[in-house]
Amino acid sequence: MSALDAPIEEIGERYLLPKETTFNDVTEAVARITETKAPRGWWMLFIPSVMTLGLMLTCMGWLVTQGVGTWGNNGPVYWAWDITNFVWWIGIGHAGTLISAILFLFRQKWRTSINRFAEAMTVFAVLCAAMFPALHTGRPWFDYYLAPIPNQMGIWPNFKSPLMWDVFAVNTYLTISVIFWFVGLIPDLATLRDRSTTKYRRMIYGFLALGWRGSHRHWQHYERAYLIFAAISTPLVLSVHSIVSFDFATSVIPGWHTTIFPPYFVAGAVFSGFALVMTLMLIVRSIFGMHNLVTIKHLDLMNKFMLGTGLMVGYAYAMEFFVAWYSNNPYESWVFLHNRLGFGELDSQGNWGPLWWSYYAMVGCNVLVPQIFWFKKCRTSVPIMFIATILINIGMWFERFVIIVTSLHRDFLPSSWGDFEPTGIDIGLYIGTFGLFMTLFLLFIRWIPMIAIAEVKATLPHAHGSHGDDHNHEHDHEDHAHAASAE
Amino acid sequence: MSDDHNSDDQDNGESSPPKDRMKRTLVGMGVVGADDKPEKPMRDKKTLVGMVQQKASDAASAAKDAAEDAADAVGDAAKEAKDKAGDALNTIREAAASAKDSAGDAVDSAVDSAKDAAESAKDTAGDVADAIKGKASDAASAVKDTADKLTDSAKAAVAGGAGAGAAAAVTKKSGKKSSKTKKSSSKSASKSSSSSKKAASSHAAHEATPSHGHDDHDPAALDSDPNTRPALYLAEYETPDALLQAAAAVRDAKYSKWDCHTPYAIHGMDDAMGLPPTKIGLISFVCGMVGLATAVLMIQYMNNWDYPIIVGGKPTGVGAFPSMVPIMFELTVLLTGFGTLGGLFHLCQLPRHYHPIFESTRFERATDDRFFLSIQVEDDKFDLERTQELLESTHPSYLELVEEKL
Repeated sequence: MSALDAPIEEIGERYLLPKETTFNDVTEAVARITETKAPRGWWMLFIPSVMTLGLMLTCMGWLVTQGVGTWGNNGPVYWAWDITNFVWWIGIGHAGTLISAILFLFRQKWRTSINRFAEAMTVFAVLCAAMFPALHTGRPWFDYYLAPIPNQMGIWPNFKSPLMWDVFAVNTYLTISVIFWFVGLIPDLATLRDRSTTKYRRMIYGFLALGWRGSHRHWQHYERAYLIFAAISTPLVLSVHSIVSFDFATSVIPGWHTTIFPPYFVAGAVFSGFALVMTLMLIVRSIFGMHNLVTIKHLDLMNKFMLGTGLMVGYAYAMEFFVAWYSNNPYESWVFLHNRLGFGELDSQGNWGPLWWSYYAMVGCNVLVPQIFWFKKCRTSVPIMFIATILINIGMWFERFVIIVTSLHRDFLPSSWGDFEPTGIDIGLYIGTFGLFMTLFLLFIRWIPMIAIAEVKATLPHAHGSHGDDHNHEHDHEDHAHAASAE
Repeated sequence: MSDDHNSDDQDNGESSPPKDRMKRTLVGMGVVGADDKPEKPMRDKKTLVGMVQQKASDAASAAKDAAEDAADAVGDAAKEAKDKAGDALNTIREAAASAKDSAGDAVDSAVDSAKDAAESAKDTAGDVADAIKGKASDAASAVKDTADKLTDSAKAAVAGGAGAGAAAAVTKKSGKKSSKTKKSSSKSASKSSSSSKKAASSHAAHEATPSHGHDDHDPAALDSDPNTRPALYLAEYETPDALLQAAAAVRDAKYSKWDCHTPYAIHGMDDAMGLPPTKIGLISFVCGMVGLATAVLMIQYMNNWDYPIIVGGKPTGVGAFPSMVPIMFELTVLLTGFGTLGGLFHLCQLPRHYHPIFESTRFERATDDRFFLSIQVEDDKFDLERTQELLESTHPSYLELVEEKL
């Protein structure tokens, strides 16, 4: 086991952190952030974030009191920015689970520097996402109709509806993400507890750490529990975006009714999530000076991931066109050629699909931009990757916009066509969710260890002792066996 | 008995090297005599005799305390002898003489107080008093024996100038015997007996068999501070390697109530500690299956049996299976997650915000960069001296007997 954990130097693998890094270095580097005064950069982000959060609450209050008519949604575009934002935020969250769970199962040790961070992002992104479906019901105080509890109408939820699946998927995802995140935090909260110098810190972190004392009898259960969480989160994260895509794929709207949607959505989710992790990571890294823990090597690996998922997304875009042509369905091909690419005859109002430009924005940002990551220079240049990740996030938002709004506003009958224009509340609410997200996120990095201290320590070269001691013969034999089979 | 000398010991202990600290801890426990005041037993005797006259049950503990005082007085004498022996050769003779004197006094007073106590106990409750009398005289003879040994050792000190070591050895030995009693008491006493020290000590007295001979000191006499008791040995190591080797050694010594404390999970530690595989997977699996069943039953009940919702002529029973799959999956995952969290808490017995191990300030580094091994007093094989020897053989960078507040 341990032999497999060591980097295979023959193929160029190295330890992620310098050999001389001590355990205490890691503790210091991470815990110090929560113990010292916030740097100026933190305040420069925090104050605008809280103000943006205020914007969100204002828009939300207006929406709830006035009704969804304050949005630009109108027939046939009954879903617009609300669901676009929902799908986008959910997708962002998926990167966190991917990093914490899937990379854990694949034994990608480099994840330890970013997984805590990404998991927090998941939780906050899912909170932002869950807000939109809750609000778009129009009367959020009746949202409990969605829950399988008796209500005054005497009927139960319809479990055959993909929207109902969505309720279960998103809530399960949020719950499991929070639990997974918290379980991962327990040892690090104990570290903060043991370092705390003031009474309140000791009380609060002590309460949250649940009395963790690093006992190996606990570590044994803990490690297995962590593995189980990773194992259930992996299919969960795939299921959540698949189910989100079912909201569209199970309907008959041209542009939605496609079997490629589940994998296409999942790849897009991972893609956009990685991009946002990168954007935030680059900011935090420079504000808090975490260059030793989040190295260029980490960023390089992340960029490769984005290149890979970007290619998958590009492939899905291409396949949509192929299927539109191959299916020989006139509505389908019309949507893609006319509505998205802007080719063909003008419509009755004398224009192409008025939102054709959004498709080009999407392809440009999602397919062309990540191609720069073929070059090592771009993968290792912080300014270039910062701009690229922001463009990718914009592109992924447009992807959802294209799928939802451009498909809806031109469907079967030209008589029922419509247009969509966002209102101030639409825009304010979307921007406001950044306020919610960033406020939570900035509070997180100030008060909670943003890097998994215990996990990073376990990746240090001297973490598991030298091998060949007589402390454990069986174990050594196992190691030799592994080494032999690897050769 | 007195709080002042104990607190002194603790203060000094912080800065001393491990071995010294160890000795001081033993001093703190009363195993090695500390510089107590010789007139103490007299005062305590009076007050305790007063207590004895109140109730029969009190009488038992009073007799015990009296014996304990006697033992203390002996310990004090030993300490005094030891101190004096450490001085210049000229004063050694005087020291030995005074030690002899004070030891003799102590024995006398111990016998007196024990007899008083036994008599008063007899007055108030006949049968109980008989038993107590036996114990008290046992205690007295134990005290006498120890005093004799001390006298011998004091003589030895006069002869060879090495009295200090000998006295320490004798007192250590008696401490070791008493620790056995201590262990049996802590085993028999219920876990929640922290408040009722008297209960624990009377247990020990009743359990004491003739084979134990003069082990009948009140185990509480081990503690110089009546508000603490030994909870565990804590050994600190600098490297994971050292801890792995120490863990293997403790495993091979067949201890059961011990643990390793590390800032992160060390691979290979399961084997080094000889832990069986964890059962948490089973809990998760069962909970997951409960989730699956819940989903099937819930959907069937709500959409088929109680209020069938027929949309677009689609089936509601088994034929609706494909539409049930997503929620079946989600609820399986959700309950697996709850089960895993609950299983983790259950198996680890968390949250548990207090543990005696937190009494050690060194232990704060267990979540930073040090590796600890702890052996609890509750372990069947625990023995103050032998466990200490075992841990010392693993070359810890620091060794401490952590005491728990009662």
